[in-house]
Amino acid sequence: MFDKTHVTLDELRHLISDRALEGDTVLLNMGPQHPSTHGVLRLLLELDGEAVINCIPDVGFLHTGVEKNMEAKTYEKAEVMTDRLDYLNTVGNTLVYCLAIEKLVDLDVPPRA
Amino acid sequence: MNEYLQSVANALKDRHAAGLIEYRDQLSLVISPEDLQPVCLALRDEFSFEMLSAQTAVDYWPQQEPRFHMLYFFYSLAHNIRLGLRVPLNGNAPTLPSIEGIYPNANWHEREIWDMFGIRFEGHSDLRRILMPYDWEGHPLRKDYPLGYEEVQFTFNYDEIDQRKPYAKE
Repeated sequence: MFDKTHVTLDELRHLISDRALEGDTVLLNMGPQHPSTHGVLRLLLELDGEAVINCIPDVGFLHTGVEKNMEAKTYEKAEVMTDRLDYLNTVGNTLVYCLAIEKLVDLDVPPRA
Repeated sequence: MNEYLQSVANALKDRHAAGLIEYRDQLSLVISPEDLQPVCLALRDEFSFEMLSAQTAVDYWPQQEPRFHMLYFFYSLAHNIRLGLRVPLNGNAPTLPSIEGIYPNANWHEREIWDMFGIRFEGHSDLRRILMPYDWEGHPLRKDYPLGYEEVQFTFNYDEIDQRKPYAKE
């Protein structure tokens, strides 16, 4: 049912320039930091001296599958999960979620709610 | 509805035999995969929808035709209006043309959709998984992909799962 997707080194080869393989430039890993830091990502930097000439971002470290979990929950139960998406902007994410649900089920909510 | 948006929708409807969906004041066009690239080009160059604001997919499993819908949301900075595109796709492993050449930010969106739904994009420059590890099997946001702890009991598989549940049955 699912086709296995295994990526070999050769398939990733096109991301790196020839200069880096010859040792003309330096490849430097920046991150990933500890999972509790905000916005964890890994950057594979190609440096020519001090200048960054190429950058390959690698994201997905904080992807926890919230959207998949929310599929199996009622609207009220899923609402608390929107707080956990980003602990610096809990209100924003919850507001957007609530507005979307209100639009979906055509609720007319009074402003003080 | 906005007059300009209405005229764009009518023009595309006549040109590509597109369907129109209006839901809670949001307008969506339904087109076939072959029309995708011409419609995107027309939206960008002719109707000044400069921005692809979101791209995602929906899985209607176990329905097979169409199983997936690709969704595109365009935003026009000049007119401050939004337009949705819907592309129905049949089968378990659909492919459709990439619009990376028209809207470059579709690169990462299409990588995510390949990762999460297993929809392939022809002509994409670098179609790798973006969120999951490279050796991951399956595409997690498909409806037939179970949650980790337990298979979800929906109405269509209620009886099948109920049989193997370890509780006293009458």
